[in-house]
Amino acid sequence: MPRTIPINRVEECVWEVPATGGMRVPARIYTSEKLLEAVMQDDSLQQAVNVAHLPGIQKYSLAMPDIHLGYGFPIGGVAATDPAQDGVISPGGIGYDINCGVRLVRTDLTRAEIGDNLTALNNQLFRDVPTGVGASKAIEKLGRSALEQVTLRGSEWAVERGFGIQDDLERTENLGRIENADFSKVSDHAAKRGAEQMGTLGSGNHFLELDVVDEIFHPEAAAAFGLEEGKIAMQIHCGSRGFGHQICSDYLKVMQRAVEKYHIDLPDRQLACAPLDSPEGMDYLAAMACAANFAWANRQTIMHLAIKAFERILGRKRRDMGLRLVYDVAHNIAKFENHKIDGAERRVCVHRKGATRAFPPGHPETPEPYRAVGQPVLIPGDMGRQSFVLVGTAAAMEKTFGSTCHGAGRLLSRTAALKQTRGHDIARELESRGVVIRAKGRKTLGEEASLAYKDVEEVVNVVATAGIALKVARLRPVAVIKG
Amino acid sequence: MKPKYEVVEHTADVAVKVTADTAAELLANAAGGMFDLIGDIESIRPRVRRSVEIDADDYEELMVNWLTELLFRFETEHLLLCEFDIEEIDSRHLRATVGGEEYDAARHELQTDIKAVTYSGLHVEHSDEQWTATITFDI
Repeated sequence: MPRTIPINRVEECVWEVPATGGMRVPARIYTSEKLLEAVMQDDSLQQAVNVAHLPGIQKYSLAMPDIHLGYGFPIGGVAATDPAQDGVISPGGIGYDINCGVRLVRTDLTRAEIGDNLTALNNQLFRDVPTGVGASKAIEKLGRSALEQVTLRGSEWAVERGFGIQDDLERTENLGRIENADFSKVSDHAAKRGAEQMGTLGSGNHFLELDVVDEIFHPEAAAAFGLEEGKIAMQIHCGSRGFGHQICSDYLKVMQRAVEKYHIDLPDRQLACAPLDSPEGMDYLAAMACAANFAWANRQTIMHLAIKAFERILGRKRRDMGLRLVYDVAHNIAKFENHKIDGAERRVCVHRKGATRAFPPGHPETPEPYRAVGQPVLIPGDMGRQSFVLVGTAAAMEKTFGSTCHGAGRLLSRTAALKQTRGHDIARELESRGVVIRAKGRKTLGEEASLAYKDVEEVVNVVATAGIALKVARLRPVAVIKG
Repeated sequence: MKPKYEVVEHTADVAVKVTADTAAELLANAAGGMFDLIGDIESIRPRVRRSVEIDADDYEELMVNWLTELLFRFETEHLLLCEFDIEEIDSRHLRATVGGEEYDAARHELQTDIKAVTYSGLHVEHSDEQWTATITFDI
């Protein structure tokens, strides 16, 4: 049973738990009255309070409106720690799927132009992008030295292999690669799990989806992103596969020991962490960077496989169809960034666990083509309704360490979703609404049905009202592949 | 044989509760439950055998390390496992022989992609007559 936690409304869409006991900072949750009710049903708010205990945490332990129960950190959690104040790194603040993220590709194609080829295109995507449990062998198995290159160079490795173009890198968060990756900090087990999984989507809530740009809210940003109403776009949602999962599992063990070694007092064992400048902390950061780079290479490779499917089915070249990467964002990651704290610029480690970076116009890390409007933020919804493209703001920079929400969040457990969809032919129901779907697992369609998720629009409206991102466009699905 | 376990409701992930008379049986049931989630365990035949050794600091870590190792065998060797003979066990060490077969699309249906075995709410508890644990999988 969740404990009662004192919470005060401080802004229209912001509630605060004051710092008491071992909390070093208050916890702040961005939400609405309606969404807050759901939050109170589980322990996710308590998890946000627990995060406030981390050594070196700055300003607030933050939670986005899609907050739900995670491991140690809530999903939707953001925390910045300062190395100069004994700040820590906590693998739970990144999650098992290191650099799980989303990429969006724009096209010049309309739904009408694709016409009856939509089903064939979806089938080709399903053949060429391996999905499902233990998905493997999209490309040849990576040897140890090739895998090392992936982990050091990320998306750049994929582009050099012919899986994309230079322009793709410029439109990827951090250019598809974070520094200080060190492959010697990755276990043999992780390397073996990663070897066969490059270019695979996996399962669960991961997907590849074709959408129609359904509505534009912010014409200037939409124009900069290349999004036009009525045109097809493609979303890819996945992460670092077994490679990242194993790295997280490996380092949770290391961190359990570090907590004792450095006498860190934590309210939950799963928040296990180590000082940023300790050998344990630095080793994890180096291994995490390897997994983050693996994930960027993975999404880059998947995009390449998908573009090949477009070219094959529609008989036109990438450029002729106007296929261009809009952006690729991570939503499970920790990175060193400069933020203004107490009036001074400081370099802090921002943990984003189910939260998206949302940098403002003019920020040096906002890609040049988007410098005037802000960084694209990609918020996938469920497979039957809608997804959103947002843009980062100066308010996000001030209030949430340049972060915003990441998705809808589940409403029902998988078993409950299966129960409620029993007797329904989900594929046929989606088809009657203009969405073609292929999924590997027999239960996937029931487990991932729209009714299992909160409506992502409620989440997006909160961040828009709070000003920590602005709505740019709505995407409506027309073709989906899942695990 | 179906392992003794029950699925516990969890919004975002999947948890199983296992009970057993001994620690060895508890860890075997947990592994059986995990492979029954991945694919129907009754479709798996014990054609190949592998030995597994695990070290840990306590039973919770032993459980997580054991299941993570079996998950590793599945992802890297595509081995679906159905038999778990635990030959030695205490809170810090386990030696076992496990049996199963390579995944065959014609006979096996894979259902749940388990990313990781978590410590979430994990307590290995035992009284004189019973051992219990609830294991949450990140999926």
